Amino acid sequence: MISVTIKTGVLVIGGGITGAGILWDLALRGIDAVLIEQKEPAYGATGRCHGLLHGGCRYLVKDSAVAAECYRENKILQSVAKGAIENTGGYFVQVKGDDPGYVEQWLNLAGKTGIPVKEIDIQTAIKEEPLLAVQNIERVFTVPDAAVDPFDLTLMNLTGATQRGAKVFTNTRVEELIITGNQIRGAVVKDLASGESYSIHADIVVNAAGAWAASIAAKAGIRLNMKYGKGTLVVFAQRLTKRVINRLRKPGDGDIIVPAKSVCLLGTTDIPVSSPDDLDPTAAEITKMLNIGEEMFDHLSEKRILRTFAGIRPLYTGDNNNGEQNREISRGFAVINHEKDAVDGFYSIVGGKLTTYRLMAEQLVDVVAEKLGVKNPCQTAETVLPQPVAGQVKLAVEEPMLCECEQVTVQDLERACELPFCRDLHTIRKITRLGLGPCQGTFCIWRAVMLLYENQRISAAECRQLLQEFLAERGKGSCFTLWGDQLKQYELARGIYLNNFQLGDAADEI
Amino acid sequence: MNSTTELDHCLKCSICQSACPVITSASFPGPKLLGSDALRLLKAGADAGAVLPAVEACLNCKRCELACPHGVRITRLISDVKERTVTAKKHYWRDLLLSYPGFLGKVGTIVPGLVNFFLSNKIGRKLAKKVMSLDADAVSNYASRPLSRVTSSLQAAETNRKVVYFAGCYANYIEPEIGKSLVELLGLLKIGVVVPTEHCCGMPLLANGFKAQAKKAFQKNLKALLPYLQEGCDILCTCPTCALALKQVYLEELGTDEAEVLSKFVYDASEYLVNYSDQLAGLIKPVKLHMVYHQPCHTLAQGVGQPSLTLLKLIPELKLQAVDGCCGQSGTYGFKQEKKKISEAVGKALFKEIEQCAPDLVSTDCGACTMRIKHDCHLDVKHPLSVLLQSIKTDDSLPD
Repeated sequence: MISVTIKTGVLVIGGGITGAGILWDLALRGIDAVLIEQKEPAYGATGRCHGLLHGGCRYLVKDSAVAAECYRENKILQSVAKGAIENTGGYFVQVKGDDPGYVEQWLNLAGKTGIPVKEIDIQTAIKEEPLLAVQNIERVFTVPDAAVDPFDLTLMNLTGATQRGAKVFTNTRVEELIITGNQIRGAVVKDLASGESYSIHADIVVNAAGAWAASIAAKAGIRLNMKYGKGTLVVFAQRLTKRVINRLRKPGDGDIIVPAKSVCLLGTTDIPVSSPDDLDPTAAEITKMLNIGEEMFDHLSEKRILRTFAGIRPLYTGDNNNGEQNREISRGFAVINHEKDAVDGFYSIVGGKLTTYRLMAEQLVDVVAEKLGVKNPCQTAETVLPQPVAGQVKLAVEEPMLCECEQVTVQDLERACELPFCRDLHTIRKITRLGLGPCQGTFCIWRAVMLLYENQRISAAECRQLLQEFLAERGKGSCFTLWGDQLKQYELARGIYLNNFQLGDAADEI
Repeated sequence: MNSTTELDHCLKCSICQSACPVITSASFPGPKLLGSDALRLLKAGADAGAVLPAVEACLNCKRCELACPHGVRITRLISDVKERTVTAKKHYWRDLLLSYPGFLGKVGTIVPGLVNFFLSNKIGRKLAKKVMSLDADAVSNYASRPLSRVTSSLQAAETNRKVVYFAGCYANYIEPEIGKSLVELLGLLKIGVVVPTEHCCGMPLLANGFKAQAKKAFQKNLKALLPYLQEGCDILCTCPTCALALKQVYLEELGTDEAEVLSKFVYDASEYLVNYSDQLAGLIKPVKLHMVYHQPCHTLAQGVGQPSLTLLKLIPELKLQAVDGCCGQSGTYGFKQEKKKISEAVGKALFKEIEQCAPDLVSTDCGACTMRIKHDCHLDVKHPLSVLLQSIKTDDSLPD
């Protein structure tokens, strides 16, 4: 039974950074919009990337137009999305055996593109970044890379949009698209928490479902040619470098380390997979990356690893699919007006990357605004996004604490719960960083769950369910890197959860 | 193990928290938060100011490290945090001055009359409170002659072997009797002693966050002691903190081969003398006294058991009771006015235990504990070696 109907101007499908950026752009232009997300914000590729705000240098040789685009967007985001960005700066490091010809070509293109690249002497670099393997380093260059928290960035866009009247529904999946004749009319959606279906009527539907864009398009009988590349990342327990460090060679596996607040990420691999739901890292990928990482960083594989995760790069191959390797496919993006497929008012936005999400949203909303006859220009390059409500690196030793590793206070949790799109523990954790530190939730998740129960936000049955879900998810993330200190940590966590909370059933899942 | 690896090693089990004497006495986040948690977040750019008052409240008693089931050098992580916050200190200059007890000792023993008069006089103390936020009530007087000027005449004539005595600031400038006792005891055992011109062990600098200066002090001492190590001499300390520094902290902080060699040849003086128990027992006479022995935190932290207690047990008829706990003084910590409340709260349980024993005399190895217990329990406090020597020298009871 379809009970409720919501009416809006634009329905955005997908709560990743692209969808969130589009919603913010629409809201700034005064266009009424609703966003739906099948899980929680930044569930897909957005939340599973490096968090590298590219200065563009990585793409110089392959596609200098994309490189220049990244550099421009990087500068814009540093002024409008300060709360999500740490301007760490970056190094590009040529390691012994890397092709010097590539370096020359890269330097030449950097000059032409106008991206500021400067060589520094190796001693200075080592002093700044003692993790660098001194015996292997040939040349080091500084580049304008930065670190961005993709969760924060997505949540800031969603928060900004909702403050201006947009609506966000998480845990809500598209059941079918409503099309009459050649005209899209909206979608029938299902609230996965309540199991209830309802329809959202809209003049325009934007498919920003990232890795799931092809399956959304298929609901309108349209074929989108997508390729999926699985990229696995390794999360280290602490910040091993001050800045982003890239290998200066043709982009390959395991050649970037990015600081991400209190941790840092090594990545990534690129393995073709057939489905966007094929998200499991493999032990072979991790071993391979650590081995490559060791060429640039001293004793990297001895450092404590918290977990690994994999994300899907959804790459748009256009109309012709000529069998290119995934890394070879352009990292540019495409706005597709499905009028050409005989569905009016339906748009897909595919490809692209985190660094250029704002530009992607701008170009899409330009098309949508024109269609709707709205003349307001894009304001996202000038309008500062709201600050995140929690999750910043801090020391709050005086306050009542839930998670000591990441210093998440009781107040942080309560503030996160007040956000309109925060409906589950995953979102809370993304907003606050609860349980993302070295103990991986050994001590904080049960505290948080009990506080949620005490504040009557969840029932007793939900407490158990949340703890089980959490344990299952943690087990998935850490099963390939369980050795040394982290293995002991994991056993301590299992002892606490399985004995004290008698969650024996969940143990089968981990 | 460098501090990056050390940091990774913490499993967040919080057992250290339950062993911390400050946590139970004051509002204090505890060793886990101030160690691995704070250092990790400071590395990620967290504001150091937020943790400064808390980290300054750490006593550096090392009880957390003893409790850690995973061998994490927690106080080493805390000292890294202190280093990162040192420039934000409110009492930067006072703390720097207090971190150089060797310098203070030199001044104090050159003009002891003047300094002692200043500190034992109400106006002087008030002035110290006002200008320096120092609470000097429990400070002991400086000795009229430092140890280094009195030991040369005490060398045993016939010696079987030679050891080096690293006296430390307390025995050097405040209670040279401790040093004299050790030298005499060794003389009875026909062991020769060298007391090199020395500098402060550097631990006060480290405890106050001045890590760079501390490392310089460590290097200086290491250089001075190296020739003796090459001769094959053992190094003895009567101060538990000096012993801990030479045994453990120099190696942790410097990580050099020399520091490693040093660490293997350093003994707490009582730990060394326990090997001569049989010989000593033959010299000791009964003492009819009731005494309480207090083991200092830094003796505990050396992991050598209770050698002083073993030695004191050699004295026939001595009624001996042992107490456990931290006195809260921690070097100069208890003299800092803003720390006085915490210090007193930490020591309270120990003082109560001592008072309930109602002893004639207290014995402890540590100078800071000695000053604090003397002041708070109004009892005479002697170093175990002084007690031991007196039991050899006199027929009657102590003190003379």
